[in-house]
Amino acid sequence: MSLNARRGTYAALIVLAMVTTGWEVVYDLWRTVLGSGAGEAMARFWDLQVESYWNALLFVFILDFIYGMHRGADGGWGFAPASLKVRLATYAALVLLCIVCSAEGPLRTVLQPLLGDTVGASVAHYFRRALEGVMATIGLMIFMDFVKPGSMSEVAGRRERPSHPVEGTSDSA
Amino acid sequence: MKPWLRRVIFYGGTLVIVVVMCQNFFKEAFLTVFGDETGESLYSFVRTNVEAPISIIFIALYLDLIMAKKPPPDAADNPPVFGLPAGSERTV
Repeated sequence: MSLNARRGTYAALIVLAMVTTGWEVVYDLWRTVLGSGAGEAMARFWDLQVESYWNALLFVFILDFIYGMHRGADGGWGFAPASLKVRLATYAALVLLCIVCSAEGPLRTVLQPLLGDTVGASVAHYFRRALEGVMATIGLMIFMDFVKPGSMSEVAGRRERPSHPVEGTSDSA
Repeated sequence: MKPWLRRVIFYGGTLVIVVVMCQNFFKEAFLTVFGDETGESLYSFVRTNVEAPISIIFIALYLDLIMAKKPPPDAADNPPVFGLPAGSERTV
């Protein structure tokens, strides 16, 4: 499977989870499989993971495309971060998304004429619940830019040295 | 330690944390240690943050399954999207 196919599959599965976990049919399915008590609890548990779905989906693609995370030659992780302009634009987009997520009322007013009362209200509420996930993603971006965990690659190189000495490297490294 | 064993401990341990966070005995332990009012408040805070370990699992799965063998951005099968030109990447 190609890299893009794997990325697409991951995104599709997360979006599928986002869309289906709050659906009454899926609640009924859980209740049918596990019984009313455990089924209801499991359905509610996965329905409540809105922040997780958003955080994972946003952050992994930011790691992948904005920070260019990849396997380094030494088996650790390498980074090829985008320019400051692109990263600042990403911060701006996430802050804008935070504002959209916070504004459940105005978003509901915009969406209800387009999607109908029930679906519009549901989507607006879903965005409101996603707020923690988007904020967590901004925090992780600050970690990437401020702490610069590219040094993970160096740590891996030190702790898991090749069994044969590499020419030009010092044993005390 | 074998990489697969590290993964079993990491994913298994995180799942155990999720399950434990949702159990009644965990809540009872909070009430016993911190008293009814503070324990209830602290437990509610912890319980409502069960999304955190779930996020960790989802993000780690992406690193493990999608990016584990991702080549550098200058490789033919991974052209740069926003990345720096080949040879200018930051590795340390």
